[in-house]
Amino acid sequence: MDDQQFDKRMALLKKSYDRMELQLNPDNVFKQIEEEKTKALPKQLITAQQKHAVKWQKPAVWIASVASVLLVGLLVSFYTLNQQENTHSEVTQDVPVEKAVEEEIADYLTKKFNSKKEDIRKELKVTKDELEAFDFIKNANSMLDFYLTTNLHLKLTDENYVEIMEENIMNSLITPKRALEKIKTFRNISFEESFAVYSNYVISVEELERFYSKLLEPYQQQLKEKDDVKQYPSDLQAIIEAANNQYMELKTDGNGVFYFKANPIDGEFAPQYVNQLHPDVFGYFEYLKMGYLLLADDLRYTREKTARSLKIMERTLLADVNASSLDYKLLEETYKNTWVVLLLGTKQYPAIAIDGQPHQDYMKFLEEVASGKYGEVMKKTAATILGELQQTQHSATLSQLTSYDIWTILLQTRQETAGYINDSDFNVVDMNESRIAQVKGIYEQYKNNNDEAIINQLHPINIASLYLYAVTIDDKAVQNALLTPDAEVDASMLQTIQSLDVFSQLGEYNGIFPTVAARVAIGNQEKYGRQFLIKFSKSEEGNYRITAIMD
Amino acid sequence: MNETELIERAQQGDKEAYIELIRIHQRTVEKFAFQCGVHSSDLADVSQEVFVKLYRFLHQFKQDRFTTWLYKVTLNATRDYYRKERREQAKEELLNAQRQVPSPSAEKHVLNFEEDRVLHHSIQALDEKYRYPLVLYYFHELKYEEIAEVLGISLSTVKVRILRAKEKLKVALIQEGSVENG
Repeated sequence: MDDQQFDKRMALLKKSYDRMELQLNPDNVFKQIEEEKTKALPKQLITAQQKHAVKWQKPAVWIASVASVLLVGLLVSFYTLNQQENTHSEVTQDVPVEKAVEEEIADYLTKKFNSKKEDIRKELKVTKDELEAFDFIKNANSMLDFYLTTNLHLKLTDENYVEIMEENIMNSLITPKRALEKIKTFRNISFEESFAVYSNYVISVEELERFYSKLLEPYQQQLKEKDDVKQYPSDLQAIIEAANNQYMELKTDGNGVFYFKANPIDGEFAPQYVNQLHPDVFGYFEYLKMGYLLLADDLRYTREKTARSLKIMERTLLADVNASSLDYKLLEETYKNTWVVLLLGTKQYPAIAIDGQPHQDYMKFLEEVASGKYGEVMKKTAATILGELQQTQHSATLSQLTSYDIWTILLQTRQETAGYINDSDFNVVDMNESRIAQVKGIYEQYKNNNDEAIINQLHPINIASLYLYAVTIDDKAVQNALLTPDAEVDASMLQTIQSLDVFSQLGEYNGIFPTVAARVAIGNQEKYGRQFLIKFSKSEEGNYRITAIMD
Repeated sequence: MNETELIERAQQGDKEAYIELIRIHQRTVEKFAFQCGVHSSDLADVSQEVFVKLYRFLHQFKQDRFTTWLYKVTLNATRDYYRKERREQAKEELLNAQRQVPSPSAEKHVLNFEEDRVLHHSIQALDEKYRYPLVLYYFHELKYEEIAEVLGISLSTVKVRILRAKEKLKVALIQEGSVENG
């Protein structure tokens, strides 16, 4: 088959693809979005409430008690009034008492809600229409509707529910300023409490940044011409004041366009009490503050500024146990992708100079990373790359580096996979009796036939099982058959294991380079550590072999 | 209204603008997902997932090349789809290492001609590192630079992989016996 024939076949297939009938109904996209919003709202708040039961409870217990007493008092008064009125009114006598109470609570909550909303409107210095157009206000409205229309009549008998409901509804009305002011109600704030503050802060901050930045559009010229805020028109001054009140600073982008960016941690308007937050949570605030670290083809900030930012994020990535949250994933993606770019070099910050030698500035940067200036996770990798470049002007580590490798290093530094093991990226199997019997079966089949085709068809998780079994019976031949010639086995304790019972689970991650995490059963962790990581490569023929084992 | 304006309006919460964006791009997404190996019966689900995901992150979109971003998101969605597929398979047969190739009959209503189906399945059988650049080059007419960006690999790697993909595909087609006098 020549190229012309081939291209013709491909062109014909392309035409067939182009004729495919469309499957998706675009309206269904919005149905799903709406459904997720509806489901997320109550769940989110109930979860938030559970977290904040720890978080807000300490200082707020007495407030909640007083509030509930007031609420009960209000209801009792209402009952009394209602009953007194009912004695004079045949119409209201027909209304069931429960229904009347329900309406009274709904009325009470709606008034309280609207009153807080009006306070927020004044705080943000916006019109009613502008306020109602905000998504975070729409969500709060939906929350109120959800409780009043869907749940109220079902749960009216549950006092705690009414109390929680009220708190949830009111907490959904939040501004960045109000979110951070909650810090003042704590003493010795924990990471979970700090994260809850962040979660409340993030509800509205980005939308408000966009809103206030948009309001600057008619004033761009005046902003460029004058530095002194006092010389600005009063309308513009009011916008700046309102944004500053939410910790937002006036900034200019690369094109000289003015916009607002919030920086409540170390910015011009950062409140003093923000230092009380648990330092492990600052990575999330850093992510919000910096936005994208990468542009289409280079770094957005300087290399040093980028690396400093990653160091702050690293602390959070190492500390936060809830690694499956979307916030964590976004941080993780930013961290690993940016480090790859930093180490591979960019046009502005190249790794290799024009003369083909490692760039001097790059080598200096590597030295700094290796010294720990920019965190712990990348120290060893930077030192390895530096050593290779110094010796041979070439780094095999660098040329093969992917974001997945950085993820693995991060994972190792965390020294646990518990947070990941049920993550959707993992295929997990238990190391139980039936599993062990299957592994032995594969082993026997391979030994009896001595046919490499048997192991060639195995998935990484099965190769890992077979390797571990070969270790337990000290069969070096089988172990070697499963390793690549240059495999690095850096796990001395592994060789001392004599039974597969030592392991509880195997988790396979199907990345570009699949990895199997062999988790050690809890009773054996003191002796062997928590897990062994087994890394694979795939040959041109599609066969998997182990390239590295780490404890 | 051009695409940039539609994106801006969608970012501001304009539902109609986003639906218009979906209409413009859904064929690209569905085709690419199908070419990446998603079963025809799952195309609506996968492309819906793509557009829901895009919507969630739309406010963060600040770059110019929406289409490149779209391809990346679609690619991730198809990989998620694969993982789910694999997990399902693993549940049924833990030790079965055979790779499941979609049944040709299931795709009959998508590809009407036998020759197309054979070629389609030969492409599906390629390793993904060859399949993706080939698909983007031949069926989406992306430039090497664009393919490199979507897949996060270098320009030279793209060229080499397309070349290897062609070689492998030709061999596969000859083995299938579908090429007369080939």
